[in-house]
Amino acid sequence: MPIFHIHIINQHSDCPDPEGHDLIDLEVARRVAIAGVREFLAHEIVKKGMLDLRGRVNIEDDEGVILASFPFDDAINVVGRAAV
Amino acid sequence: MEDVTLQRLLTKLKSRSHFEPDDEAALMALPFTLKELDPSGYLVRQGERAEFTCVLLSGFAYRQKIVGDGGRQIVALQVPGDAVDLQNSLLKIADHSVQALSAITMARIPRKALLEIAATHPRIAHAFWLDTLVDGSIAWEWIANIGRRDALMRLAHLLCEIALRLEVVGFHEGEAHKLPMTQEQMGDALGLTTVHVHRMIKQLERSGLIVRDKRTIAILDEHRLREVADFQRAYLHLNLLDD
Repeated sequence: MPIFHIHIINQHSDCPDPEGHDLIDLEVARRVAIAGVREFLAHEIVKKGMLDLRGRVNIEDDEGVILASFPFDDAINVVGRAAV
Repeated sequence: MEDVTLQRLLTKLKSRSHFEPDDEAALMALPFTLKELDPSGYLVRQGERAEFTCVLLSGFAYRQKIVGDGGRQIVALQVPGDAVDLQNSLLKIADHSVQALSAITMARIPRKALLEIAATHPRIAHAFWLDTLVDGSIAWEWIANIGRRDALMRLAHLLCEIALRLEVVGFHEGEAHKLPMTQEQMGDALGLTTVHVHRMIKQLERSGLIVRDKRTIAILDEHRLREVADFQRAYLHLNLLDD
C-alpha cells in the first residue's frame, strides 16, 4: 500500500508528517486529510472560540512529490455567516 | 526466549496484593502454553468462547471494539504482566477482541486451571478480583479522558499512564518511557483522527516534553507532561499495600 504524507502548514507551526499513512490511493488520503483538518479546527473552536483558516495541507508521496494541496477552508463549508 | 515464566504476572499482582510463599509457588506453577504473535495478530476474538486466559509476557496489546461504520475504538492498552482476558474466565464469551500492538509473546493459561487456583488460594482469588476492578477503574478514566479532556491532554494522559504501568511491572525508566504506537493506533485510542494526533505530538515535541523516533515516543519531561495531562495516578490504585 502506498504511503502518503499529510503535511499541515500554517503560519504558527508547520506540522510535517514524516511517518506518513498507509492508504489505498490519493482520494482516500484526501479524505483522511479533510477529516483531520475538520477535527482540529473544531477542537480549536471549542477551546479558543476561534476559527483560524490560515493554513493549508500538502499531500506528498514517499518521494516528496506534492500530489495535492488545498487550503483549510476547502475542508469546510461556512453557511449563514453574519453580514458585516 | 526472553521471558518464559509468569514472573511479570506475579510482579503485577504482588504490587497490590499480599502473597504467601505457597501462593507465589502455585501461581508460578500454573500450566501454560507459549504463543508468539506478530503485530495485529489476535489474542482473543470477539464472540469466541474463552478456553484460555492470555498473560502478556512481552510486547503490547490492545482491546478494541468495531462500531457499525467500521470505525475502531481502542478501549484499553495491555502491557507485559497483564492477564488480558481474565474476565473471560468467568464471562466465557469474549465481548471484544484483543490484538497485538507489537510482536508479542503470551502465555495461555487454561481457564480451568485459573478457576482452580482461585478456588484453592483465596489471596490469589483476591488479587484476580482486584485486577479486574483496577481494569474497570482504568476504563472509567479513559471515558473521562476521551469525553472531557482536550486533544493535547488526552495524548499526554495516555503517555503518562503507560509509562507508569510499565514501571510497575519492572521496566526500567528508559524502557518504560517508550511506547511503540502508530498515529493511527493512538487516534483510535483517543477518539482523534491521525492528522490531529500528529499535530498534538508535534506540539508536545516543541514543548520539549517528548521526542518521537519513527514509531516510538519517548518521554523527556515526565513531571511537566503530567501537568499538561491533568494526570492523577490514584485511579491506578498502586498503593493498596500501604494500609
